[in-house]
Amino acid sequence: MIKRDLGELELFSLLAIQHLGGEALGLAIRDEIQRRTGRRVSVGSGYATLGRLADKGLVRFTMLPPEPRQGGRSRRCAQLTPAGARMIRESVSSLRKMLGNLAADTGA
Amino acid sequence: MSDSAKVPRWADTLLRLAAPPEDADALLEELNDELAREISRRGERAARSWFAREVLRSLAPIFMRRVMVATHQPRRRGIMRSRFEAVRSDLSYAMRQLRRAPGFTITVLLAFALGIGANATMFGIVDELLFRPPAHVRAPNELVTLAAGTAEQGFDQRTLNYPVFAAIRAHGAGFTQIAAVAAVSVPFGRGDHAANLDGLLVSASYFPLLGVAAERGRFFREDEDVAPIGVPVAVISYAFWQRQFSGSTSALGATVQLGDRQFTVIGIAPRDFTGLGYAAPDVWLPISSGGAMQFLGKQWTTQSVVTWLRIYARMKPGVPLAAAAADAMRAAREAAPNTFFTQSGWSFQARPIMTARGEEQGASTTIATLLGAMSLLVLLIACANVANLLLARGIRRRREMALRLALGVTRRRLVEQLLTESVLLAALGGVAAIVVAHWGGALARHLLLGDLALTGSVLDPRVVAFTAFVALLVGVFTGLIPALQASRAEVFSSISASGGRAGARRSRAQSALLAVQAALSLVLLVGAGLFGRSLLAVNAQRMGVDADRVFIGSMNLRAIGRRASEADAVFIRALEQVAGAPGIASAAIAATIPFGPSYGTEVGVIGRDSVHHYTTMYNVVTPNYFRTLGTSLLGGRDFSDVDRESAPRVVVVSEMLATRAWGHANAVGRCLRIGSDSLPCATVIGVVENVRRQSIFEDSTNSVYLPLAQARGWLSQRYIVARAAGDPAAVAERVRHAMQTAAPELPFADVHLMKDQRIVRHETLPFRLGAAMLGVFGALALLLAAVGVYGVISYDVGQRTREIGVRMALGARAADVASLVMRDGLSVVAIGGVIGTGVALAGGRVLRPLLYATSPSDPIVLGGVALLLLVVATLACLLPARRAMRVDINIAIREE
Repeated sequence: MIKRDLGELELFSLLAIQHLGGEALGLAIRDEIQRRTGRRVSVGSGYATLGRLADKGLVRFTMLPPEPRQGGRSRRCAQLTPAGARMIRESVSSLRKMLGNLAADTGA
Repeated sequence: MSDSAKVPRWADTLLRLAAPPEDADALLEELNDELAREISRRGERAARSWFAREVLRSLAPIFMRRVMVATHQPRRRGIMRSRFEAVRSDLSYAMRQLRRAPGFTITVLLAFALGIGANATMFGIVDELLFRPPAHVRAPNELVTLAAGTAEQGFDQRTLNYPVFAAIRAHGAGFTQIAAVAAVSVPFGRGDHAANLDGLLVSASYFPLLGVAAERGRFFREDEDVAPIGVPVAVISYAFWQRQFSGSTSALGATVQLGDRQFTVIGIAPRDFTGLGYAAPDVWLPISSGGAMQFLGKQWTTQSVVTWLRIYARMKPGVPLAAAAADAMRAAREAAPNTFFTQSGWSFQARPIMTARGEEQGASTTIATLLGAMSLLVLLIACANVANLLLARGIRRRREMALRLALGVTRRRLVEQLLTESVLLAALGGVAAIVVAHWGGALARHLLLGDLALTGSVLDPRVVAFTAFVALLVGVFTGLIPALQASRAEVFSSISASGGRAGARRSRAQSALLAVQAALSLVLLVGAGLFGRSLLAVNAQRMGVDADRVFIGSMNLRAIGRRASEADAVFIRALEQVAGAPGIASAAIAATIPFGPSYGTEVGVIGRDSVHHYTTMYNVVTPNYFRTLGTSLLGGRDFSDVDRESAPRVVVVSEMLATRAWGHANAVGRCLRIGSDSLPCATVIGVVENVRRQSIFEDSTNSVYLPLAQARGWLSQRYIVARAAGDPAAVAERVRHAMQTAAPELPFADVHLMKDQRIVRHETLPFRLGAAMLGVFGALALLLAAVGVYGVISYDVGQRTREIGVRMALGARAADVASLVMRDGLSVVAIGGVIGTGVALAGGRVLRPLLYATSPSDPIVLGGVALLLLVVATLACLLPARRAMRVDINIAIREE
């Protein structure tokens, strides 16, 4: 059930994962988005976004072993799939095409 | 990351409830990491509060994700089915648990029934006043009423006149249909069986406008409502049909005597049809035939001075309200250029009837909303109460929980199961609440809305839906804390038998809930006390009349075609009969009465070198008027039979006018020129105290009284006033009978106590209602809180039997033990009391505009309520304390 359309937060998340070397924890992804855009993403919406990306086959999760402390739980790491990497290329290129020479005007 | 950060238990539980089970761990770990980082950045406190917001913000997307996952993936279907199975087994388990503890179950159900019931009742009333569309009316959202006004003064002119109605009907392009309505009192029958009916004069277009169909017969035709004199046909209400004709079909075609004409009944309105108001009239008559002439004379279709008709219309689709109103004003200006509300600066406002209805019930609406808030407080108390009982029960079941955890049941399942129990309890409580709302609703309506008897059932589907919603909310709310606490059971310590029993002291949550209950009851009781004090202050106020001993009698002689001179003869005869009736101390005739219509004039007082003019109210009365009303004579004398038509002109003035006109000098014997300076002197023969005219809260006004014998032509209205010697209730009917039989063929004589007059009732309503309803709610809250204190303390004593036994074995006296228990209970209540006092002081500011001569921080009320709370709490602690004193040392210690 891969859907072609991609929400803004979904695209940002994919890009953040790529910036972080192709795999990242949820917290790191949200931090990266905030660092670059100034936009605060809550745990909940970050989590839901990654879930949707996984549904679309653009990321997959791997579980890291729990930390060796009391009550330590395993963390979930999001990994870009080949489809995800392809989606980034396509989205960015269509964005470029749409912008055309607007890019200069909009300060982009 | 740091190990010191730990996601709080509440967040853990909430997230586990919201998230898909397989993702919960990862989510919590992410939150844990972030919390740790925020603590190192902002410090513990700021980070915690940031964290709480973050979790709450995240719940919605997480839960939505769960729903998505559950509904969109086929492999989940099986899990859904197993969830359903789990819910079913939870329910049957909960049922068994409740049946096993009937005392507990009944207490909880009672608390829920009262708490939710109070809310369902108030919701029903607020809903009816504000939200529910009128019955049998087609598309009520398209209906508007026209009000005239100016931008500065607001749009308060809700009654218009016939020429304007006719013009808008002919030229108002914004409406598809338009009708005019006027409420009237219609004399029905004559002599001893006479009565006054509530009538509504309507244009023939009224019923078609509303889109209602007749229950039997038909409604008016246009050719029956023709000016100036229409066809005498009447539509009667369902209730009147039942009352007068026992629901027989022979009512159609029957004739009834209304005013001075015989009307033919042509139709019966549907059962709960109330028009656009809240109560149905007895009869509907065409405007042209229903006596419009009687109050406006032959020119009723053309006169544009008196305003008396309300106008309703149905909007044409797509036309904005403002455009339709502007259009109507254009038509009105052309037809009635001389009316005050068609002058420049004035405009119409077309207001949807759904909003106009609620606003016109102003006072009732405010009070109903206030009481809605109060009933919410009662519900909170009930919730705190039930949560406490559930907590206590949870602690008792700690071993069971620990055992199940040890056997591999997850904490989540445990929480779900306990929540199922509280929701089931709340659902049962909701059913009981419906019963409470059914009985309480009738009572509350009567108290709140008085004669505005609503005809719809209290229990309509919306009230039931509301109740179900509140019950669900309350079930989750009350179950959450106890469920969390219970699921925290420490497996090892709880399973060992002694730990399970001796270690279970009252928890902090229980004490907090107890304090909350005490605080909320105190708030409600303070509210009741403040309204009570206001009511006392209002009642103690000197109005210049004894409103609760004086009867006012009136008869609409004009409506049956009697002339003014005939009317005076009838009233004088009636006065003789009333004054002679047993149980009547004195009686008089007056042209108007306090809180009735008032009439103003100019009076001139000749000073040393000029004439001073005063605007003053005036009244025309017979001797004994002042004695009858209880108005004290401050100087001079009352009117007497000496003051005949041919005798020198005399007047009595109010203290206010006497002081203004002559200062401190004696007014008696002075000259007053009434109406015009050229008229001869009227000599002041007496000064009476000031009497309230239009409002029990107004400032005193100037008044002058004229003897009836010398001022027959001044005012044409007549009232009989009569003072009861003993119990007023016993003589009301006697006064009515005496008036009614003063002459043959009289219309209904309306007799009521002055304090029951509309204005007086209306003005004292907030205080009477506030004191009564807050008193009821306060008492309810106090009772719930007392049960709560008793339950928790006596449970505590039960848990501490062994400790008490040991103390007594070591030499503690019974009194020491008792004081230990009392101190324990009272300290919690005292803390709650202090918090409640703070809340009451802060919240008092909201009440200030509703109070009269009472400060929101009235020390007597605050002190009295605090004392009451303490006394009740002491009583609630006494029983457990007594039980503690009787602990048998041997049994207590041997239990181990």
